[in-house]
Amino acid sequence: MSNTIIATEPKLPPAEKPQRPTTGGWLRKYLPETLGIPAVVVIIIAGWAWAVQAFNIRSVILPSPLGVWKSLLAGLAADPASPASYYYHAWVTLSEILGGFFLGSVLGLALALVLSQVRILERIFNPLIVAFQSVPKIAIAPLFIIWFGFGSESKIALVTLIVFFPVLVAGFAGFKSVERERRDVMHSLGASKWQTFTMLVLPGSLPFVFTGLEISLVHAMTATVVAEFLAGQAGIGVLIVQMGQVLDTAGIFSLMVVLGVMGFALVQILAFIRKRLLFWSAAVRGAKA
Amino acid sequence: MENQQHTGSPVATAAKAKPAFIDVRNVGQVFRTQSGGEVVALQDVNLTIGDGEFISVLGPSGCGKSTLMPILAGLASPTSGDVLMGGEPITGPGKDVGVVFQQPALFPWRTVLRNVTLSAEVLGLPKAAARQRAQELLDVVGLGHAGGMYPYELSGGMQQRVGIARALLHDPKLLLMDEPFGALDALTRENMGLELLRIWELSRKTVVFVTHSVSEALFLADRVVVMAARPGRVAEIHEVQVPRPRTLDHMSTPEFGEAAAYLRHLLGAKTGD
Repeated sequence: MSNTIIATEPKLPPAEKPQRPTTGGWLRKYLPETLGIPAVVVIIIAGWAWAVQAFNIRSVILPSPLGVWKSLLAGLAADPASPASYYYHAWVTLSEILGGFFLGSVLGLALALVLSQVRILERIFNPLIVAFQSVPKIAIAPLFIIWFGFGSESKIALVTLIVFFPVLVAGFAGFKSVERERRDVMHSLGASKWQTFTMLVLPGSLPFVFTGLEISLVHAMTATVVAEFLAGQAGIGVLIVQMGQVLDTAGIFSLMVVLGVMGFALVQILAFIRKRLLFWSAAVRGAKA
Repeated sequence: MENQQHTGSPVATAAKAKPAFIDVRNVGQVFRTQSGGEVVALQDVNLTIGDGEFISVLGPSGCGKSTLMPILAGLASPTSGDVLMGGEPITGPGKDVGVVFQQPALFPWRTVLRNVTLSAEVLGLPKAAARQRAQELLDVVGLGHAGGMYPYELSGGMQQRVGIARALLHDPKLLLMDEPFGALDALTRENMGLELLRIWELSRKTVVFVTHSVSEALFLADRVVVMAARPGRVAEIHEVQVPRPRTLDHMSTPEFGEAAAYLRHLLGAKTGD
């Protein structure tokens, strides 16, 4: 009896569409990625190089791609210990981004946790948070430089502040997002608050938390560079300002490349962690399809 | 058919000698509305359930059947009256009760097997034994192959079967099912009913099954508790005469049809619809 029942149960939907096993199928499937993206990049660079030549644009206004490339190589070739080295400045900037991102995330999640558990604090702080959230916090950067000095501390403080709010809001939403019936499951087993938190609330909040982290990461990179523009001894933002003062346009472009690579790598790392942790989430699976 | 009509009297099977496993005495539940008014969700509910008995609670929406469930599960306290389990008052949730909800409410980040062992983790039961029992239960619900899969890879009916296995893992004495097949399509629903009876015959738990489907209530239960609304109360307790083991063919017998018609009449008459 039971066998027939199991047999009538609809079969699992196939996880992925069946693919015809054709030779070169992989290449055809990923044609936009393998050929499309490089082709577009090449066309842009070629168009840029052609425009600089054809309209005789001065390199102070717009350097040729080759000039940017040479600047990049020069910056990367310098002794990593010397202040001219891109590595050195990139490292300073990267550590400021990561330091602030880490601190802001931890503080944001900690406060989100407290507020989500204590109703009275939630009611006191939520309106304040909403009010603070709409303040453009980058405006406080000069004050942080007065407080924390020209070094990395002021940048880390600013990034912490900027990361704090989106993570707090996302974390709070995540901790509050638990489906009532799942909570009832834990409740009906007599689970303690701590068990409910670690087994249900925390994992269930991760999709929200990661959305907050992804938003914050981009803000963190922008805030670091802006803070370095204002004042500082090292960092890519500092270097960009110095190059701007001597009209080294190619140098600025080459640093944009460095920032671009750094930002892309950070976003990709975070996306990778998200995918690994949240494979079960509808959003992640939707993005895969 | 075993003689079980009055759970106060000794039941036929020797294994089920304990009378009145669950005793619901004069239970009332009153909720306060936002505007300060009072809603009587349950009024003077009396019900005794024998050990190993399968009870369906049938009623229209608003009859308080979903208020009774949390009380039996120890998740809510009644405003008045007592609920005893095995002679002891139910004071809170715990290991004696397994609950199957309307939604499977599985944890999507856990594999099917680890969803089933959830209660063992919460209750601190030995891990290896829990895993073994979870695998056995998955075999029982026909998902022995699916332990390593994730909930999103399963159909709705399969997910609900995982929910049943999860509710049974810690070997509760009482299985509460709150419209567990309500979200399933009609065909899957019938099959799940059959599955449930098979599981019940293997495990012999006391089952309280809330539904608003007359035929489902009749098909599954030893007795059907018919509830009426406004205020929520027990209208009648109907003894189901269909022999066991039951098959879907029983549903097309004249006796089944008559009983169903009677219950429908009862529901209609008592609610004034």
